[in-house]
Amino acid sequence: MLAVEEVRFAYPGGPSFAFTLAIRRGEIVTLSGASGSGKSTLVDLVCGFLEPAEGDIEWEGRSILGLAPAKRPVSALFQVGDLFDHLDVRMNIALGLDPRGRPGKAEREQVSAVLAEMDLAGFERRMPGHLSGGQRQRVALARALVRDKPVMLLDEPFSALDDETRDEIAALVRRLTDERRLATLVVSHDATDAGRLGSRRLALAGGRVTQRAAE
Amino acid sequence: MTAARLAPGFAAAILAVGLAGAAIGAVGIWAGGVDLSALMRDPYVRGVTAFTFRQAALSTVLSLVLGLAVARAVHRRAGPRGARALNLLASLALVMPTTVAALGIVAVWGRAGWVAEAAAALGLPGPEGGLYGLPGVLLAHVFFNAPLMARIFHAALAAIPDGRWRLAAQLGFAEREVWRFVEWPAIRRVAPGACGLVFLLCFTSFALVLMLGGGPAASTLEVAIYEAARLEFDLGRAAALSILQLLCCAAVLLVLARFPADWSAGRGTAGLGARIRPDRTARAAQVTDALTGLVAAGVVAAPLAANVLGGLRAELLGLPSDPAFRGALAASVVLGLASSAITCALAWAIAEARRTLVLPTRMGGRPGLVGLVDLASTIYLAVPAIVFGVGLFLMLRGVADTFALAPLLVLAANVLLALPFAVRAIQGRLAEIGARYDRLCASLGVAGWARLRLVEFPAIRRELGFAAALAAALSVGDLGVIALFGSDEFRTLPWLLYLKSGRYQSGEAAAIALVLLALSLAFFVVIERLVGGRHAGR
Repeated sequence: MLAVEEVRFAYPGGPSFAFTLAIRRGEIVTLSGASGSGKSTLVDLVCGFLEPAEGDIEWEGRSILGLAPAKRPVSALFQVGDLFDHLDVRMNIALGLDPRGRPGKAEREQVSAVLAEMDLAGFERRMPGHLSGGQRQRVALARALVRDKPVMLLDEPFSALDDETRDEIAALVRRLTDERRLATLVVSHDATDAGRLGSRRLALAGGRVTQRAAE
Repeated sequence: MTAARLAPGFAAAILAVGLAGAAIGAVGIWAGGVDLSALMRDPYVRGVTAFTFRQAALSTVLSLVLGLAVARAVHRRAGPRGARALNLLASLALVMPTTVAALGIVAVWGRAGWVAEAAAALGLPGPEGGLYGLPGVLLAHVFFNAPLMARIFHAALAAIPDGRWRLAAQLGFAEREVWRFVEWPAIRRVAPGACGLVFLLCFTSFALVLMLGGGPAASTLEVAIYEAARLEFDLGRAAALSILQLLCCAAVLLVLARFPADWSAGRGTAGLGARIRPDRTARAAQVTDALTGLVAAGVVAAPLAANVLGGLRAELLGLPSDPAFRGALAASVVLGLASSAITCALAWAIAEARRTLVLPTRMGGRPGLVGLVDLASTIYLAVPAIVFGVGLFLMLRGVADTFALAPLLVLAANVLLALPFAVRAIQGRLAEIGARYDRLCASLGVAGWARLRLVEFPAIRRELGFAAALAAALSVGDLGVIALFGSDEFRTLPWLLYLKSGRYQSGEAAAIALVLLALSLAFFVVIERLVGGRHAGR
């Protein structure tokens, strides 16, 4: 279980936030809220880009605060810069296996396998600029999968997608979370995404998690 | 992690600022024994200072007028192809060695030049007075700076939204209204910065004035410093003149700082707007554009053509057997390649450090230290080459044999003087990809060499290619510090060309000019393509 325990964070001279939430394996939590409510701050705290002033973040009962971002049990899909636009699909995914960017035969086979699982077989040499919005998201999800981390964070994953593709990616996220027993946190400004994902919904307001309700 | 990204940039910045500071300090110490007020009362110094300002102001005005006319003509008539040709011409002027341009201008406008010959053939009087002096300096400065101005202004015109042109066409604007309501608002935004840049370039111009100036009556402070240091070996006077030049540069920069420095108009396509502008068919505009084309051909295109034709007719085949030429060619090639590589490494390190420093403090940023790296990338805009060279000479004199160190000193000067342009070429893109990929890299653990190789180099290689090509071409064509340290043992092609033309060996000079022009262009094109990859130059 991912547990965010009484975590407090304040930007110098800016707003302050307080978060407490828990996500079990196999569960999706959708966090919604207005701009500036602290959604992306929570993602940055869990990923390790920000250090909390107080509180703890734990995975399976052990604190992950001292770990570098790449060492945390977390894979994230960012709203901006989810793929390296100048690298092909294979290298984008292979960096999840080997961050030195020198994938061997075994890694290349693993990339091809995960692409097939994502219905993207044969896309290895494609450049991100030649992918549709939905295909980009699936490539980013494929990289998250090969990293084999138990926590998945998705920051506004549907914001650039049409309705049909939103449903398609939401179903994929749901399936992967179920099959791999992931603890998945989806940040979205759109409250309807919780229903689309069949997830538990939390709302952020005034810098705090204000609502816990099952959808 | 942050320290590893900052350390190389800090080392580069400290090296650049330290060298500039040491050179200025050495000049200051030497000038300490000279009565600056007496120097300013010297009629020669006052005349030179006044001429320096006058020629810079006139050059700026003439470049502005021709550049603006060319930009409007190209926008009205030539479409995207004309824009590409204009960009090519501006790039050519950017990398053209000053010595080569000077020879081309003499070949067209000199006493025995094309214009004089054509006039004689038609039974008309030739150009009044001589080329050397103010006319030559102005022609040369307009040759280099009008294309630059035209490129900036054309980009501003091309960036005007199509809607504004639609409105102008619908309202039936005549040429005057088009200028007043559509073009002027776009030009006004970039003109002060462009004029400031050109004024500074002309104010610190050295090689062109050295070759085309006309003795004491048409000399600039840079040339006066060179003459005091190299010809009269009056180091105290050279140092005092250097201080005067630095003070003038500082004053110019202070004035320019009051105007907006934005001269990047963004990328426009010159598409629909250029096709529907209502003044395209106006008779007055057609006449103006034709006259503009004629003047631009005479001032910019003819000297280029004269260089190529003169070089082909000259003793090209005899050059390889001349040991002085072979030595100068080898020195220029080595200096160009080394300068390009070192400039890019320093610029990348400085840009990387700056990018890291401006991050939010919680992400490792140190905004308080940005000033140091910014100083490193701007100080050499304010320290002219000759002043820097004199400073190096005074600093090392008595400690080492400066003429034995000449290759290193020229290399250092070439690197540092190209640094501001190289840093500007890459720092924007580097900051952009940092903002885009920092979090992704951190979450995947892509760091160090892997990050440089996989993320930064591919993303900035086009900009790096331009910086590398520019540094190489500037180094190959430079006649600045080499004028102070050149000797029989160490010559570069521009220095050899200057020596040959000074000894009236015009055939050899023309041949060397063609080789130098070809080398500069080849360096610019090949290095940009090699480093920048297939998207280079787009």
